Amino acid sequence: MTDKVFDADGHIIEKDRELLDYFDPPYRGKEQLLSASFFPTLDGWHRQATGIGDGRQGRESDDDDAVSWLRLMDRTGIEQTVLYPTGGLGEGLIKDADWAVALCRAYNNYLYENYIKVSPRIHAMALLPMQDAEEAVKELRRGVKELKMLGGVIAPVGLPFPAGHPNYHPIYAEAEKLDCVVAVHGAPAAGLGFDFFTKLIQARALSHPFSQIIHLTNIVFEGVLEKYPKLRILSLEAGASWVPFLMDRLDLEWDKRGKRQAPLLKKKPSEYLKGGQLFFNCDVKEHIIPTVVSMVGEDHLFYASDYPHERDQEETIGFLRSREDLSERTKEKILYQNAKKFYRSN
Amino acid sequence: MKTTYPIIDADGHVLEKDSELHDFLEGRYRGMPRFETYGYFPSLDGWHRGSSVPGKDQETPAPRWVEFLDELGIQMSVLYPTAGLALGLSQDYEWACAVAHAYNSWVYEKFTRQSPRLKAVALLPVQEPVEAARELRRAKELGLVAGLLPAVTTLHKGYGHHDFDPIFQEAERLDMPLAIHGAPSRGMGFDFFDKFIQVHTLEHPFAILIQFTNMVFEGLFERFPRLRVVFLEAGSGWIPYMMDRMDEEFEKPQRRQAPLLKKKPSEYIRSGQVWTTCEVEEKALPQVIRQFNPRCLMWPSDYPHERLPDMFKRDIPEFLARTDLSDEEKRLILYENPKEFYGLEI
Repeated sequence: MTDKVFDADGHIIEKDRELLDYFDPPYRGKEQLLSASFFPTLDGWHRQATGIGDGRQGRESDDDDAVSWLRLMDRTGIEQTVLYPTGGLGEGLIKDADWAVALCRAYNNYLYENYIKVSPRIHAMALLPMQDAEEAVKELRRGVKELKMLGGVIAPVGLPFPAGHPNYHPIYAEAEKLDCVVAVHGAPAAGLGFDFFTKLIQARALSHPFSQIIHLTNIVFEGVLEKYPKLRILSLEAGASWVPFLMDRLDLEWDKRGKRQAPLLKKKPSEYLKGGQLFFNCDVKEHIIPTVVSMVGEDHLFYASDYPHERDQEETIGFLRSREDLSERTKEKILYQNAKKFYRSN
Repeated sequence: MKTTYPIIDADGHVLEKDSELHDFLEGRYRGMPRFETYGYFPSLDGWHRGSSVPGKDQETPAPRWVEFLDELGIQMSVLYPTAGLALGLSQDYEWACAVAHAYNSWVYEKFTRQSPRLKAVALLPVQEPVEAARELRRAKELGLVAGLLPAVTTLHKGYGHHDFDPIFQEAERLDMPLAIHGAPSRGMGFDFFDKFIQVHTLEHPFAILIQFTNMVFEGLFERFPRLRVVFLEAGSGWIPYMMDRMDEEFEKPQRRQAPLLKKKPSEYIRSGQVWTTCEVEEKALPQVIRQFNPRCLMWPSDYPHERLPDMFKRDIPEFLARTDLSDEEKRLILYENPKEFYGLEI
């Protein structure tokens, strides 16, 4: 078994002051922009304040720069990583489409200059301004063609339409044409039915799975995967053991009313979930990974570090390697081969 | 295939009729003219559910229910409301208490008194917890077998909140189990779906998961160690996922946010206090049995909802034909567990 690891989902923590220089006019360098955070706050939760209250160890302020990333990768055997935003996961909450386009462009420029250019081991995904689908298509193309990005990330929470809505289909068509992946990444916990929770631990238990389940339900039933048979979509940060549940549930509904309400589907919804177009990040400690492997397939799961949000990579990678209920081949695929393949990374 | 044990349906439904409920209203609503334009219960949401399908049972009074039991070879069913599942949306607390009271009198008179094979649960006006506790006590006297807490409410708090303690205290004292049942689909992050198939995929699981997360992390099962709660109509495949996800959240320093827990969330979940129903075709069921608790799963018919009468007839044979479950596991799910949970004499 190879000891290499491909990290399919790492993060940077954007700083508005640094992004300021990467805008196009008229926003570039405009100090007054700094009076409010560029990306909307994810929701009402101040995650860092809760973390301090919990007694979590504080992080060093620059531990997400390229040098720190490479240091972490060397230490843990991560050969390559693909970086995603932190504040940028609130993109879907932006109202002003012009601002969304400008900000996504600035973010993508920033990633290119400060990470992608630094090392061939560090990749990134283009943040897509979903408020303007035409611009999102352009930005995806620019990201992949000019900025050497591996695909586009949709931060869907807050958008007026679900991710499978026909408005967004040109983005999937473009991704198919470019042969790049599209990732769906939640994070905001607002508007998902549990705004009355007063403890972050409860909101965190549900925010990622709910946003994945909502948007994948829509993507599958709207026939996006049938319409774009070469499209590859990544589901991030929700684990994978909900996938068998969703497979059964979608099939059950499809049996009852699929013909009329999901007319584009040519096979059972579960067939699309395991059909090689959807890929799911799995948490190393999920008990039912063997069941997920047997139902979804060992080629469709992958490891993600979630660094620097999580800082226990040595432990988690070691834990997955030591699991006796998974074959060596399956572990190698989860830790390395699958992500390398669907990202089309060398 | 005939079983050597009687089969119990843990979740069937009645179709309420306002014209009949009218006669069971008490207090200031007694004899008040009924305004037919609006129903007694709030509508579930904006979805039109009022037109049925030809061939589907439109009326299911007690004699039809008993006939259905015979058709399927079932001994007994535990009946839940249909329109009454929206009781939690009622913002008129006095009316919520009055209509719940009337419903319970009605279901007793029209169903449970008509046949010893029909049992029912009491609808609880959770808007007024003290009144709900009183209604639960009355339900016990009427021979109803559990209390129903609507999963979706407009109360801006989950059932883990201390305001609801009177209900749980009374349930423990009476040794009455409680049931959480969703149905309304609004306000859980997918109001933008425009096809019912997508809505129905998520409306039950999301409502259940929100209450479940809140109840477990707020220490409800620690505070009320003899309480038993069933989470309905979401299948069972979500349980292994939530066990892992909640343990993962709880492992970190943020366990500060669940101070009442004395053990891991998964240990409460499989302690015998948390129950659920399973769909006959859920592929992950063997895994659920291994990781959760084979003594806490039950089979629901869901009659007369969703399907044509003939389709219900396939459920039991299909379930009994499964080769990935033992005969003993099937017997628990079809007979022993519901008997135990609802305290049925059979």
